[in-house]
Amino acid sequence: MTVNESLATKSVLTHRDNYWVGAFSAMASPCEILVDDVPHQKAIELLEIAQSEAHRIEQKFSRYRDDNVIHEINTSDGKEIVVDVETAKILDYAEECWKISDGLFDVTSGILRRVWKFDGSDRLPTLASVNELLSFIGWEKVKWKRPTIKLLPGMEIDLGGIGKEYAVDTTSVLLRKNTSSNFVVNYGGDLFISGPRRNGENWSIGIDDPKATGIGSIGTLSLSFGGVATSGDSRRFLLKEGIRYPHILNPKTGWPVVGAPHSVTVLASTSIEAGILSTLAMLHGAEAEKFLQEQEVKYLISR
Amino acid sequence: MQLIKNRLRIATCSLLAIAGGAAAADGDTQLDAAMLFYFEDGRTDVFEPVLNLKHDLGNDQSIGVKFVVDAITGSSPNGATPTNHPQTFTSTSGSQGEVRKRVEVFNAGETPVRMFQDNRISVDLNYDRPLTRLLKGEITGHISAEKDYVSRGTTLSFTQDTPDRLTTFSVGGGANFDVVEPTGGKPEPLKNSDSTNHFGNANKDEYDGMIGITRILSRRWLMQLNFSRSRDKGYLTEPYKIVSILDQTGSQIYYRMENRPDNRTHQNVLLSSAYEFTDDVIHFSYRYYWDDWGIRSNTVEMKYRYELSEASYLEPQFRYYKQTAATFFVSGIIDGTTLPQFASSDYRLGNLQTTTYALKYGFQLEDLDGDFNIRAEYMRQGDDPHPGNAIGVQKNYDLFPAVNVFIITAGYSVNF
Amino acid sequence: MKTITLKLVLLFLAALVLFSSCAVQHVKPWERDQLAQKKMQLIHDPTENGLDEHIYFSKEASSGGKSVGGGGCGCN
Repeated sequence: MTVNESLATKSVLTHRDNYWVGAFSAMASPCEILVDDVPHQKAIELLEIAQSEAHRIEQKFSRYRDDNVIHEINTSDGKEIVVDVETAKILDYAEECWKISDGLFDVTSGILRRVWKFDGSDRLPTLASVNELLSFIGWEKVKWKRPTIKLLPGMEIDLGGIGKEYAVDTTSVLLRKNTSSNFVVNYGGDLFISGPRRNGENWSIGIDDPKATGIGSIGTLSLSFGGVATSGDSRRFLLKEGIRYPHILNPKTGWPVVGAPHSVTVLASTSIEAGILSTLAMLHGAEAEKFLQEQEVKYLISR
Repeated sequence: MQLIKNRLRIATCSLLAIAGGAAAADGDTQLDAAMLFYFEDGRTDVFEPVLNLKHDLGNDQSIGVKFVVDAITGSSPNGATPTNHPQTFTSTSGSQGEVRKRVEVFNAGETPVRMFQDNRISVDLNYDRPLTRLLKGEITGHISAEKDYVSRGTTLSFTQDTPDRLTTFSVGGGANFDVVEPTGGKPEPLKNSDSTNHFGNANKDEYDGMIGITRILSRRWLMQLNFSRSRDKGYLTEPYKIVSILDQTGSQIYYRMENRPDNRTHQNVLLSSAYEFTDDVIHFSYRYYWDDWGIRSNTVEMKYRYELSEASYLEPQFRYYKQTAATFFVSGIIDGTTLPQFASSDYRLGNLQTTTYALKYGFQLEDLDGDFNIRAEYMRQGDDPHPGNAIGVQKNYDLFPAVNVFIITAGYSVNF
Repeated sequence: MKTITLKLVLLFLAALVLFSSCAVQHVKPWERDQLAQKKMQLIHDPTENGLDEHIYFSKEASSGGKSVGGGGCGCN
């Protein structure tokens, strides 16, 4: 399925008590930017910058489109694809994260979505169907040498795990260049805070699961700086014989890690780092807290 | 899995790093080229192309090379001061091997000048690398040559950051070994310009050292304080410049060759600062200079980078310089009086003021990578027209008419 | 001459001490984005700086202050 519709969507700009809120939709999520008081015209400009950047990242890296480099790579059928500078940097990053995490973070594991449907039911895939896909998973099978990438036929690259966080960070870099006021970029719960408000106060960020039903806010964080990302989704899981299977899969086994928290929220220097750390924490299952403590990062875990 | 967080931090910095300026090519070689056109008030023209290349070797090491060509034609005051009758000069000029004689007459009240034409080529090499996580070293070499001068030098400098990287200490030293090869040979000091003998070449050595401290005062503000001291030894006299010898009324009779001490020690204290408003940056610096020839100077410089858009900027620049004269700076010497040990009428050693105004425009072109800039500059140099040491009829003349200089610079910078 | 030099050196050292201890806003490593920009370098256009230094060296008695070395020339 591909969706190549025009990405121009509506945006709404509101003035609150000494700050602006700009909201729009992108990457299938509610997106907003909060900016500490600036002139109205500047707020309009910043919202435009954020919206353009979010849409640019979406267009370029979404696996749901058939007009971008990801699609070219995923339909390359074993051929070499030459990529541009930004994509090369992302692939370098994906490779480095794969090394740092001992293979737990792997952008080639996206194809597991074909057999795993996290709809709250008890329908687990068969061992055979998962094992079949494993032969098409594993960054060690990728030939990546700047600027060309070559996948084995049948392999795919899925940047869904870091796309939104990356967009938050690149948007933040652009906003930083265009204003000296501090701001928050929040794309569907992955966010970055550039600094405290002018009056010295922190920003109040409510961490909740926008898709959850019946489960309210996990917590409210009072933050002055950093990237925040949440892994885990209270609605996407499978439950069989009392065992909860969360939707974060281990690329080496093809299965979720049992005993993982319902959700993990991490505070790091950027949104993308928070995202990687929260994903890795989930994959540590019952040891999630221990992992995050070892990494010396601030976190919120909900079990 | 120890401190994944730190490795992740490093990887993320690379991912999100945006080079200042052009976002595009992530190359490891930087090219800076520029051309300077200098026009001085009907006197001197200079054309100077510069080419600078810097290459990243990885591991934070880099090497660079710089080529400069200087083509100067024109004239400059020869030291003789205007007087109440015409003055005639026979000058030697010309290129390699060929020495041409030329006779020039200057009217009463005119400042005599000497013609020259010169081409200079210089090459600089530099190499820098980190020595520890916080300490970095740089070594450079320089060589330049022109018809009557050869210069060879080297520098070594170190910068040390504090662990929080908010302060940097710097220390550096340099040495230059120059050879002065005046056309026709070196004249005898203070000898009558008509009868002086000429001797071959002479050496000039310079040693200098500098220490400094740079502080990051806030996210948008940094300042640097530098102290430097240099010692020059050897032939420091200007081989072509003369001093007017006057009669009792101050009227010029004949000339003597100038003479300067064979050593000079000078010091500088420099305070510089860079401060960023929303997107615009203001650069400010103040320098105080003093040396053992009695010269003191103050220099104030300001540049304001005004961002017009993502890809273009305007940068007005201003510089004001004022110096006091060297102790042996004279407007003339009365014949028969005791000759001083040192004497020079070179206006550049006098009470001098230079004011410079410039406007620089930076821009990018649609289909071409890199940054372009063009700068128009007006420099006015004035000396005291009636200095205190003017003698007799000299007081009737403007001993140093102001000089107007126009400079155009065009530059191009690209990364590949 | 020597006492003036001594006085000024002492003045410089005093300025250095003051400079070192003046209140500094602690800038965290991730806040150095703006400082990293080329236009925030104290000599933000080294090529232009080289050309200008050469002109002023040929037309004035003072030289130096910003860096060590630099070649000499028979600038008339």
